[in-house]
Amino acid sequence: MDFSGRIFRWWKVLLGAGVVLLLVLMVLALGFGREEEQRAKVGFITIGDIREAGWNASQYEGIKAATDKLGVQLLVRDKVRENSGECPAAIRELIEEGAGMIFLASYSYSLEAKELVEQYPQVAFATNSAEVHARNMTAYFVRMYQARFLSGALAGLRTKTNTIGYVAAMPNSEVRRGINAFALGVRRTNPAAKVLVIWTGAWQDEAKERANAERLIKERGADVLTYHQDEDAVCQVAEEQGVDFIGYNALLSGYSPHYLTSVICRWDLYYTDIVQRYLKGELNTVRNHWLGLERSAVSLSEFSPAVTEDTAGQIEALKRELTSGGLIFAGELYDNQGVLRCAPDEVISDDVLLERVDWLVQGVEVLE
Amino acid sequence: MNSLKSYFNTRMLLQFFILSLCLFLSGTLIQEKIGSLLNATLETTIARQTADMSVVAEERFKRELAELSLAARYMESHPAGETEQAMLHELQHLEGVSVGLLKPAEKILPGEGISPEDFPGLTIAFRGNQAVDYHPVKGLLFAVPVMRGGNVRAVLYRLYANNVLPELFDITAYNSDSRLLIQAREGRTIVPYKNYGTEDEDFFHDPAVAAGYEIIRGKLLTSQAAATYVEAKSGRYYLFGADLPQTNCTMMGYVPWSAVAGDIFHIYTLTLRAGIVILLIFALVGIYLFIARAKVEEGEAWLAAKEAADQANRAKSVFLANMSHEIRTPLNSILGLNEMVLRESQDKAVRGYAQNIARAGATLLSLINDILDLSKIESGRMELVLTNYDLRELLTNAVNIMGPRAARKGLAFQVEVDSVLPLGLYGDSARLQQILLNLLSNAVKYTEEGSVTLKVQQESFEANRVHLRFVVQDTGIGIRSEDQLKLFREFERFDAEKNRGIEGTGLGLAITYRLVHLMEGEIKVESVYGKGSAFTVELSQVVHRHTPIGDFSPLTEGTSAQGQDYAPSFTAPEAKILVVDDTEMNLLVVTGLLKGTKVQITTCPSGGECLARLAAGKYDAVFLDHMMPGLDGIETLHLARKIPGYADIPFIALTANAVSGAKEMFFHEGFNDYLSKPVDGHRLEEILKNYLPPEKIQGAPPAADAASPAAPLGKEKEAGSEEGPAAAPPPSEGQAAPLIDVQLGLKNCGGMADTYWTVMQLYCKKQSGKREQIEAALASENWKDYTMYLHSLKSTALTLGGRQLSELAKAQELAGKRILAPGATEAEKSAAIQEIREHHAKTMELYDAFGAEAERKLAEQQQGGVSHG
Repeated sequence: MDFSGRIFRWWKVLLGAGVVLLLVLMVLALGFGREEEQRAKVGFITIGDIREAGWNASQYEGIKAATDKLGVQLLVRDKVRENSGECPAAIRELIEEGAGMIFLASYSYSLEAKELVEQYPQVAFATNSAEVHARNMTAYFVRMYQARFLSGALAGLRTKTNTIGYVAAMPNSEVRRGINAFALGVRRTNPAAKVLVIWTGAWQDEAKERANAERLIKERGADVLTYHQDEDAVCQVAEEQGVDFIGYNALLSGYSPHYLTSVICRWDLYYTDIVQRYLKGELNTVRNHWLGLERSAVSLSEFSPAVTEDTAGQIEALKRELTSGGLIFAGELYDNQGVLRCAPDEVISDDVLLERVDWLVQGVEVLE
Repeated sequence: MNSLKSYFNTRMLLQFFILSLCLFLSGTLIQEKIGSLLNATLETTIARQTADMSVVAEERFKRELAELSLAARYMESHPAGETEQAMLHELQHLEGVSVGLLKPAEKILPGEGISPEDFPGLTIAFRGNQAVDYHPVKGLLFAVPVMRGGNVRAVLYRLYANNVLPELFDITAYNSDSRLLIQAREGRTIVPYKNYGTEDEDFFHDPAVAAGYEIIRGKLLTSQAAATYVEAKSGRYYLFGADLPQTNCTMMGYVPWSAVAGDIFHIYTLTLRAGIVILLIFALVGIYLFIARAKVEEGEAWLAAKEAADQANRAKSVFLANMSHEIRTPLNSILGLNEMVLRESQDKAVRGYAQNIARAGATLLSLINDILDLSKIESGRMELVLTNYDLRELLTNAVNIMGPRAARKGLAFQVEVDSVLPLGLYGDSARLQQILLNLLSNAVKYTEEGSVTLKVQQESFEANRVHLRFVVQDTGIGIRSEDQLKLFREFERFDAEKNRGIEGTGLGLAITYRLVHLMEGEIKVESVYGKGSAFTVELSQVVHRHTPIGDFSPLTEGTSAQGQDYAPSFTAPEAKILVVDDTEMNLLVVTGLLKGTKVQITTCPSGGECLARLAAGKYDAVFLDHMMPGLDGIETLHLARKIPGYADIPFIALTANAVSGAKEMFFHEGFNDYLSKPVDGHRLEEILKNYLPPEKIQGAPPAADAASPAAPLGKEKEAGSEEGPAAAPPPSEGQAAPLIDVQLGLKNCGGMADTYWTVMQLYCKKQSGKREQIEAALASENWKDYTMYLHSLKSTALTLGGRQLSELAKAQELAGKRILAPGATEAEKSAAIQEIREHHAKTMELYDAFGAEAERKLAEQQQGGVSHG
C-alpha cells in the first residue's frame, strides 16, 4: 500500500469514528431530550399606551418585571379601547397565541369579556374590577386604600384650612374605598378637617381634572390636593396654585416644593404574586389576592423635604400599626348621610370593601 | 514481510481501539443521559403524586376550617352570649387545644397571648377570610370570621399546641417507604411524621438534603409541587414538596430512591443488557459475514486458480500424450527397421551398431511409455485392466527380465516367495508387473555392489482376497531421509551429481506410487543413506485359484531377445495374411518382422484397398491399423465382417494409442486382438501363431535356425552390447546337445554351484511324483493341470540345463494353453489335444532320460567330482 492510500484509509477510519460520535451526540441532543415544556404565556390588555406614564406604564412595567422574573412569556395588547369590541378580539388573539392567563387591566373590560371568560374555562382571567365574577376570573387589587389612609393622615397634618381637595374619576367601589380610607386617615390626625370630592366622570380628562382642582382651591380654599385619576393634571394645578399635593402613582420628587409624597403601588410584586399563583394552580383555591402594606405592595413614596421629620414619624407609626394587624375600616363608622356602616365591635369585611362601597364616610363632602 | 504484517496488526489494533473508545464514550454518555432522564421523569411523576398528596394534606386543614366555619355560622344565627360559650366549650375537644372568640375591640389589647402580631392570619380573619397560621412557639392556629351583615363581629379560632400536632395532622403516606411532614413556608417543621428522631434530624441536616429542599422551594415558587433527586450520605433519595395554598404551610417529604426507581432502573438495566447482547450478536454476525465474504472471495479466487492450474495440467497431459504418440510412430519405424538390420546384416560391426540403436531405442521407448503412463494417470485416463493371472508367471517374468540385468552388474539377485501364496489371482497383472519392474530396475540401477532381493509375502488372507507384500531390498546408495518424502513426486532424482550416469526420467517411482494407489495399495520406503533401501508395496488381490504357488525357483526361460540371435518361433508358408497401414514404414516393419515365418504377406495402405483385397482373395488373418485417413480401422472392420467368409477371420488391431480401455474398445468393436506400436517382433509372432489355423503352422522352429535365411545369426552375440563377461557360451543348438548342460544350469542359477546342486537334488527327489501327476492329468484330460506341470517342468529343466526337455515341455505347455484359451474352437482344441498326445510319449521319454542323467550327475557330484568345463 502506498502512502497516500494509507492516509486515505486512516481518514476513512477517523471519518467513521466521527460519524458515530456525531450521531450519538445528535441523538442525545435531539432524540432524548423531552420537548422542552412550553414556556407559560401570559396576556396583558390595557387601555392606553404602555409607555404612557401613570396607570398604563406602571401596570406594564409591573407585569413585565414579574414575567421576566418568573420566566413567563408576556403577550401585550395596548391601546385597546373600552366598549369598542377591541377587547374581546384581543382576548381571542391572545388565547390563540397560547396565553394561559389574561390580565384585563382596565375597569370595564371584564363586562365586555364576560361571555368569553365563560367560553374559555381553561384560561385564567384576572381583572381589576369587582364587577364580574366567574370561577376562572380573579379580581386583582392591592390594598391601595391603606396607602390612601396614610396619605390622608399626612394631609390632615398638613392642612391649615382643614379643607382637603380630592379629584376623583368616578364613583365606584374602588374610588370610594380610596376616598373613605383617605378621609379616615385625615380624621385620624385632624378630626376637624374635611375632604372635598369632585367627580370628573373619566379616568383621563385633563381639562376637567384641572378645572376641578382649580375649583377646589379657588372656590373652597383647599390647601392640600390629591386625586384618583390616570394622569397627574391635578399636581400641575396644585403646583401652579402653590398648594400642597399628594401624587397617585407618580414619583414627582423635585418637581415642586409643594409635592409631599405619592401613593404608589409595587405592581411588580403584585403581578409576581398572582402569576406565581397561576403557575402553581392556586388561583381557584385562593379567593382573593389583595396584597397590601404588609407585603409592601402599596406604600407612600419617599417624603419630600416639605414633610417634617415629626410628621413623617407620625405617619411611620401609623404604618406600623397597620402592618401589625391594625384595621382601618373597624370600629364605629358612619357615612356622610349619618348611616352606621360599622358597629363599634365590628370590622368591615374585604368582600364589602371590594364590591359594595356605595357610601362615603362621615367627613367627606362631594362638590357637585 | 514481518514488518508489513505487524504494521497491519498495529493498524487493526488501533482501529479497534478507536472504535471501542467511541463506543465506550457514546455508551457512557447515553447511559448518563438516560439515567438523568429517568430521574427527571421520576421527579415529574413524584411531583404529581406530591400534588395529589398535598390535596389530601390540605383536606385535613380544610376540615378543620369547615368545622370552625360551621360553628361561626351557628354563632351568627345565635348571637346570645351563652350559646357562644357553649359552642366554644364544644370545640375544645382535646388537651393542648385552645378555642376562643376574638372581638375586634379586644384585639387591640394583647389577649390570651393571641395577637395579630404573632398570627398575621388573624388580621386576614378579621377582614372576613378564613386563615391558617403557624407560630413556632404557640402552635397552629385556625381562624374564621363570625359575621354580622357584611361586617366581621368576631373571629373564632382554635389553636393547637405543637405537641399535639403530629398526632392530629400526621399524613400517613400511601407508600410506606416515604416520609411526609408539614413545614412552614420558611422551612420550620410544623408536623413531623411519627417516630421522628435524631436520625431524621441528621437526614434533614445533610447538606445534600438541605440543598435539595432549597431547590424544591425554588421550584415551588412557580409550581404546585416539585421533586428532586439527591445523593445523601445515607443513600439516594427523592425529595419532594408542595405548598398548601390555603395556608402558609408546605408539605415536604422524601422517599428512598430504590422504592421508586428501583424497578424502573432494573428494567432499564435489563434493557441495557439486552441491548448490549443484541449489539454483540450484531457485531458477531457482522464479523461472521465479513469473514464469510472474505472466505467466499478467497474460495472463488482459489477455485479460479485451481481451475486454471487444472486446465494447464490437463493441457500438459494431453500435450504429453499427443507428443508421446507422435514420437512413438517414428520410433516404431526406427526400431522395426533396426530389427531388420539386426536380422539381415552379416557384418559384425553393423550388427553392433544396430544393437546399440536397439538399446537406445528401447530406452527411449520406455521413457516415452513412462511419460505416457504418467500423463494418462494425471489426466485420469489410466484404468486398471483386470484379468485372471498366474502369480508365478508374473514373478517369473519379472525375475527373468531383471535377473540378467542384475547378473550383468555382478549383483546377487535373490528371490524369496512364500510358498503358501495362491497361484491364480485376479487383477491388472501388467501394471503389477510394471510396479515390480520399476522397483527392481531402480534397485539394480542404484546398487553398485551387493545384492537385490525381491520378497513376496502373504500378509494376510481373507475371504477370497490375499494381501500381498512385495519387498524390494537393495544394498545401494540409499536415500536421505529428507528426500524420502519427495521420493514419489514426478521428476525427482536425488544426488544429481552422483547419479549423473544413471538414465531415467525420474518418473518411475511417481508412476509406481500412482499405480499402487490406483490398486488401493500402499507403498513405503525405508532407507539408510549409504546402506541401502527397502521399498515395500502392500496391496490386495482377489484370489481365483487357491493352489499354493509352492517352491518358487527363478528359472530363466532364456528366450529373451537380449542380444540373442533371432530365430522364428514358427513357420507357416501356406498362411496368407493382410497388413493394412497408411504408413509405408509400418508395413515394411511388419513385413520384415514376419519374414522368418514365411507367411505370405500382402500389404495395403488404406481401408478401401483392404476391402477390395479381402473380397479378391482369402486371408487367414488381418492386421488393421486403427488410425487411417479415409476409412479408419474400425469402419473397415465393420465393412470387412460383411464380406462372405470373413465373419470369423481374426482381425488384429494395430494401434499407437495404447491407452487403457483401448483393448476393451477393440474387442467391443469386433477385433480379435490388438497389438500396440512400436510392434514387438516376438509379440507379433506370438499373436500370429495364436490366430493362424493350426494346420497351417508347421512345427516349431528348432530346425529353423539353419533354415531361416532371415536370421542368419553368427553364433555368439555380444560384441558392442552387454559387457560380455561371466556368461557361459550361449546354448548351442543343432547337434546332439547334452541331456543336461551343467554350464547352462550353473549360469541359470546365478553361477552358484551350491544352489544348482541343491535344486538338482530336490528335482531328483520329486521327479517320480511329478511324473505320476503328469500322467494322471493326461489320463483325466485335466489340461489345466497338465499345462501347469509342463510349464513348471519347462522352467525347472531349463534351470538345470536341460534345454531339450525344456523345449519339449514348452511345446506341450503351449498346446495345453491352446486348449485352455478362452476363445478356442472345438477344432482347435482337438488339434491341440492331438498334438499333446502325439508328443507326450516322446516328452516323457526325454523326461525319464533327463531324470536318470540328473541322478547320475548328482551322484558324480556327490562323489567329489566337480563340474564339467
